[in-house]
Amino acid sequence: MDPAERDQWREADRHLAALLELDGAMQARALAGLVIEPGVREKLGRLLAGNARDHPLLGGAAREPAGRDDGADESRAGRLVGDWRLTGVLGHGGTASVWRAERSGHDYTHAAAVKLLHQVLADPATEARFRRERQILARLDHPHIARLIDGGIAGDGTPYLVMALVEGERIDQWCDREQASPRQRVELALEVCEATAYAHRQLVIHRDIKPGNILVDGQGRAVLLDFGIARIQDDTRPEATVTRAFTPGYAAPEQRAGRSDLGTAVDVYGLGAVLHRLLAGSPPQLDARDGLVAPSRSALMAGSEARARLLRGDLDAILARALENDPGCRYESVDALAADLRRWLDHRPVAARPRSSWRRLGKLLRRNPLPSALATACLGLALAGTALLVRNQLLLEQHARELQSVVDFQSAMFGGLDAGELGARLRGGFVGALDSQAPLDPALREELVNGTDFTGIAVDLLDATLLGEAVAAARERFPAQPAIRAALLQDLATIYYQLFRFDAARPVQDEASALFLDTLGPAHPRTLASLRQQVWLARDLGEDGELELAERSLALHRRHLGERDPATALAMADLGTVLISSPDTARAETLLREALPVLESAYGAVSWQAALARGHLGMALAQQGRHAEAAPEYEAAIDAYSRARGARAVAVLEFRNLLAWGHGRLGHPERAHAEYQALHPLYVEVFGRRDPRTLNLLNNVAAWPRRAGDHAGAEPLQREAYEGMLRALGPAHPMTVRMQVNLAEIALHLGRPGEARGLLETALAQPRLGDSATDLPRIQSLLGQAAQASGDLDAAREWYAQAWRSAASPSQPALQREVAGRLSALDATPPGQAGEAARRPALAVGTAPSTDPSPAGD
Amino acid sequence: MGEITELLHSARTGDGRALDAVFERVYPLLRQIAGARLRGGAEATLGVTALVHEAYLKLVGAEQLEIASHHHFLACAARAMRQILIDHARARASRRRGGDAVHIEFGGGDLASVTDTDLLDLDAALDRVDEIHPELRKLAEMRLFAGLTLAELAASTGRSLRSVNRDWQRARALLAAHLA
Repeated sequence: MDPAERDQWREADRHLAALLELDGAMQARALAGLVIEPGVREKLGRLLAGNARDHPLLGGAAREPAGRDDGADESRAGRLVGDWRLTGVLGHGGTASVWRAERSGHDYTHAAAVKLLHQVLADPATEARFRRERQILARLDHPHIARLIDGGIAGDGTPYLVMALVEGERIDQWCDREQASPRQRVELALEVCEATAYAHRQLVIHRDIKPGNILVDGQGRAVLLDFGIARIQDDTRPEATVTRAFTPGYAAPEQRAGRSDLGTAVDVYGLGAVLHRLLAGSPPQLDARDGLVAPSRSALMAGSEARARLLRGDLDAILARALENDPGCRYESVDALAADLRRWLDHRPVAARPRSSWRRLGKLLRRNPLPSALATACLGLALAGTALLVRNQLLLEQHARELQSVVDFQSAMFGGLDAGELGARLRGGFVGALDSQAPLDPALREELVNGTDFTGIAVDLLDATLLGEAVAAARERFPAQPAIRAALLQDLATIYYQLFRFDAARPVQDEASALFLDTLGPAHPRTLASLRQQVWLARDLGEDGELELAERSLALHRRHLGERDPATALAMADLGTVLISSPDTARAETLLREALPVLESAYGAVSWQAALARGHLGMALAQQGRHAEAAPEYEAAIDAYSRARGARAVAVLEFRNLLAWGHGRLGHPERAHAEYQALHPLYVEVFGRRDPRTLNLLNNVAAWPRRAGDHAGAEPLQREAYEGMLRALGPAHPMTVRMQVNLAEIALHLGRPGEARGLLETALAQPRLGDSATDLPRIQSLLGQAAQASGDLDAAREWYAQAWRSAASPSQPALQREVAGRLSALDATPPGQAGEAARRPALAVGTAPSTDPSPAGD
Repeated sequence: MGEITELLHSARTGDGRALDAVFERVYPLLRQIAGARLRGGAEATLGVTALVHEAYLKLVGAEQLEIASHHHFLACAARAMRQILIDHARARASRRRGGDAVHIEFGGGDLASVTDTDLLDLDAALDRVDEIHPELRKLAEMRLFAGLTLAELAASTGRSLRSVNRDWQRARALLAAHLA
């Protein structure tokens, strides 16, 4: 070493000695204020880095920050850390020591566990990060998570965290000592899964899930300790010298490889590893090629034939899936792992075995791939667009880790949302509860079980708990990062949309779109994609502004992306779709025909994008009465869409419904009816029983028996459709009114004119009736028939006259003819027989076609 | 007063040769004890603390040493221990084949499986630290090669725990910087 260099080292060492006397904040300030030559500063930097770094030869980093004793625990006992007095050591780890501590209140003493981190916070930025993380952790409030009570930086610069004191035993030791059954072990692991999934929804990853961090308390509950602390520890170390805390045997491969972009998959692995320990008796074993030794095999090697037998099959598959080397191949979320464990507990087939004949039920998102595909496109943009965003200088301020957490968060959300599964579980619990009661009348039981819309309830629950929480978390977590907030909110809006929670989606979608516009500008593909999503939502909400929004969207796409861009074609198809139900159906047809070839060449003829546009073209044709032309378009769309997205895709169902309606219009009502009947169970499964679409279909199922004179057969279907619609859309909605009128017609034919009249009069009183002027003459005509049936011929005459006038504009000649016929029949009927005539109205109805049906329910 | 005690006493009064003489006696003894351990099995574990303790008992016995003498002895023992481990590592490296793996239990309770290369690097780093600050080199040696805790170091130097800890951190930082 040359003398000059040596002198620099000596000076750097002297500065270090002085800095070590200071506490964290002071240290950073002093460091910032030092005026020293570059060579010395460089060496001081290396010393500080060396001071903070773990080294295999030198032991843990800064094990005893500034003036501390060397694990001489007694000397610390009695010390005050913040408000907490340390009373005894609970444990020592490589990166922290844990103390039992007490805080004296006015008249009680509060006990807790204080964790002293073995590091000094080097600068104000790390300190700020520590404080922020601490606040986030403090918000975790879950029965299976040891709560963070307090935390701060002690006088000597030691960061500390105060956690609820859990009196318990390590989960592995507890299970072994209690000789817990495999079921009990899985149930305990499930509690840990719930806690972890909850934290993931709050954007907190544990990263060090291992038996040592899970205690079983006196009530036999599993409690997860140290949430997010691994991250705090990483975050608060100087960036250049990050060494990650993890536990061999329980650490995921990507952690062992030292990758910094750790996601929620790390916790999936950790949970799998803990479960492996609990069930096989050891942490996961890896073979020479780093492949997982089948858990049953590793149990066998450990000499337990019984454990091996238990694990063979489903549990082997579940563990193997959770412990996949590639994070992308693991369960997509902790919820998915938990769902599989529950299936194992319920003796149901597990998802981890992809080749099993079992088909996943109720995977709402998979069945509803239309918006899902959009969501995937967004996610793709989020990933592929990272560089783009950075170029926009938006993410320069962001931590790579935060970006990662966005993506993790998204995938965890997408993977975890399974309303159908939740519905099935609800149903299982409900049936169990029912059957544990006194024996029920089978018919009543049947009605209770099959009449309850479990998927609908599940969606409510998802909305109330998970999604609301996630929206709040997205807003709170990224207050200063509008781009990330926009991406998160956009995904949540899309999820709401997928769950048909259009009202809930609305404010989230608007916020996301506005944020994209602000941060990325109007020309950015993500801003435009968000705008298209806004158009969809407006269309599905049936809002007045949908047309202007769609026009604006297309104009912006044209301006910023050009005429031939696939996204422009999508916007064009959107506008076409919005125009279908407007007076300008011809323009809808033009736009859709123009968009179609672009979409087919960009995405392929079998893509959902092209198939959707083709189906909408069919709708535009049908709207113009060109049913014969519409049918082949529908058929092609149904075929392509099924192949692109599966036969249960929403669009496939809707196009089949429309095609069936076309069959009816083309003079094949029996074909239409058969198709409606086949579709109904699919609708119930996909949308739930209470969804307006299902109810509308049910109305169509009832139409055939109603028109064929089988009113008794039609009544229950029609009643369910009406009552469901009343609940779903309210009494004023035109669809509700139409079904109410249909039900009234049935009641009339079944000889209950009083009931029919009641239904019709309330229908007539609905303020939005003007929206669908075609309904008015029909209601009036039916009121006339009800009056006639009750013997009130004057009233009947008056209603018929009104109906005749209303049917003149818009012109409904068939109805006018029918009403005229009724009027003349009424006057020809001797007064005494009026009632009888009305009791045989099938004759009259049979002579004229009923009202003009429309695809939106007739 | 035994021979070693006298030598230590002389060393305290500044007799450098006396300190060398202590080293001359500690080194072969430690080497002998360590050698016996190393032959004990393929996966021998050398707990430096235990070795130094054993050497201490053999040389000093039950005699009460003054604090300074005690410190000198431990410093010598640490230096000897370092020398022995480095010699061993060099010998194995020169044979160019893996001999017995040596597990060295360093101070502070950390069990690290140390390779020969690690040891030779550490040796070189200690030499650099010696150029910058000989006292810090000595402190690191005592902690790493004699397994002294900071409390023991404080006791054997008569300094406060706080200042010993600070110096250990300085030594550790210097070593880490030169090991990187």
